[in-house]
Amino acid sequence: MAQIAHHHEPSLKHLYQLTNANLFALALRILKQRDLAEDCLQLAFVKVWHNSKQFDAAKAKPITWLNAIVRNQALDLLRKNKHQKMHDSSDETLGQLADQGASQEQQVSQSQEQQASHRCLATLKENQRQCLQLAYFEGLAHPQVAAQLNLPLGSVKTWIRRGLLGLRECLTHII
Amino acid sequence: MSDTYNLSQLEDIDLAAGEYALGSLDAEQKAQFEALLAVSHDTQVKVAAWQELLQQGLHDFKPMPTPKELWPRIAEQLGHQSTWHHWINNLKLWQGLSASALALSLVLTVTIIAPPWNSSTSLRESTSNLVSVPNTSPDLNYVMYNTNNDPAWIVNASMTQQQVSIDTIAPDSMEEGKVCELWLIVDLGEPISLGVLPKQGRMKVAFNSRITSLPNWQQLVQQGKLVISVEGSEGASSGYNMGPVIAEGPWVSAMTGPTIGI
Repeated sequence: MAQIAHHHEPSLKHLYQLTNANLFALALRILKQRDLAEDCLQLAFVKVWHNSKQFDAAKAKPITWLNAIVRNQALDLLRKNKHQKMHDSSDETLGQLADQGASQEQQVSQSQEQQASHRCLATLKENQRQCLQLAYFEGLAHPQVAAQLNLPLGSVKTWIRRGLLGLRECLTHII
Repeated sequence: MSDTYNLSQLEDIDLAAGEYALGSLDAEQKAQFEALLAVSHDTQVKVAAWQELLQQGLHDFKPMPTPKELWPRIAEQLGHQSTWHHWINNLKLWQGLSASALALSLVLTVTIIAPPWNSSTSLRESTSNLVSVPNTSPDLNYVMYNTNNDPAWIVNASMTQQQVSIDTIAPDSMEEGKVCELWLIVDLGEPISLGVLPKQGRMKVAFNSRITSLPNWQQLVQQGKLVISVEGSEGASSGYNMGPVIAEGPWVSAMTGPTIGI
């Protein structure tokens, strides 16, 4: 990151090579459209190039910082493109994307840590998991989550808090 | 479970940080939390920890390879922008605008945070242009204002990191050969220099052993007083020989913040 802050392009390329598959998957998970996810990654890496001096290793890991940039960029694009009816969250679309990934990413293996984390998500109650995922991947605040699920606002707030605490407790024991 | 987050409570700050990282706070709640976040190093660390945790817990997807042509697109865009940025970086106007924008955002930050602490009394000491609020928290701040009453420097002390961060916003220009030096006075002893205030950017200073070796040093620092003096370019030779004092006052607690209605 320090070299990128000094605009050393090969370092940025190296970072891209190390992280692009995971970051692209995140963008795709949010945007569910390949061309938009590609645009997202392009915009995100341009931001990394110009803002790398803001990265503070004392506060966050580089991958955490990168994920946050890509997620914020993807949510921005999602909001801008909502009117184009691009956000088809049907199981069919998600299934197609998952299939494409599975066939192409043989050389990329998921870490045991990641698999363990997924077990933690599975330990949450369905309503907690749903609320967390809507907030995280669709950028919805409490009232929008409540509206989308047609549930009382108070219930959504409670489930989100309990979901957060449950996720942390599980991950603390596993990792 | 309470329906509000009280940002003077560590437990509530922690959970509000989780909701901020998740993205579930509405616009008003987010703005209130960001006011705290802007000045609290410990809160920034909490948010980063939650971001990491959410990535570990919610990223339930497999890596997806990108098309080969994506990197060349990025590299091409960087190439174009480098030329543009080289030109634009030469404009002092741009730097001035950036400083003004940052100063404005910090003025708003301080304005948002301030009322719940001390709404019945003036926050600014008339002689020193300081935000001044008593506190008992481990994360402390101090804002010095310039002659236009905009933030000149923001000083953040993190007890957990045992360091002080100083962000330069918009200080007044100093007479040639003169600098501002920041001092901490604890327990009425010799003022301890925290360094010459930077003219730009961020400076970090670890609390030296003279401070951390004191019994209950964190409490002493919290109760201590900050002083800014004008010195020659080398700074003062000792705490007893500091130059004219232009500002002084206590820390502001970063955690004695507002209550977010959740």
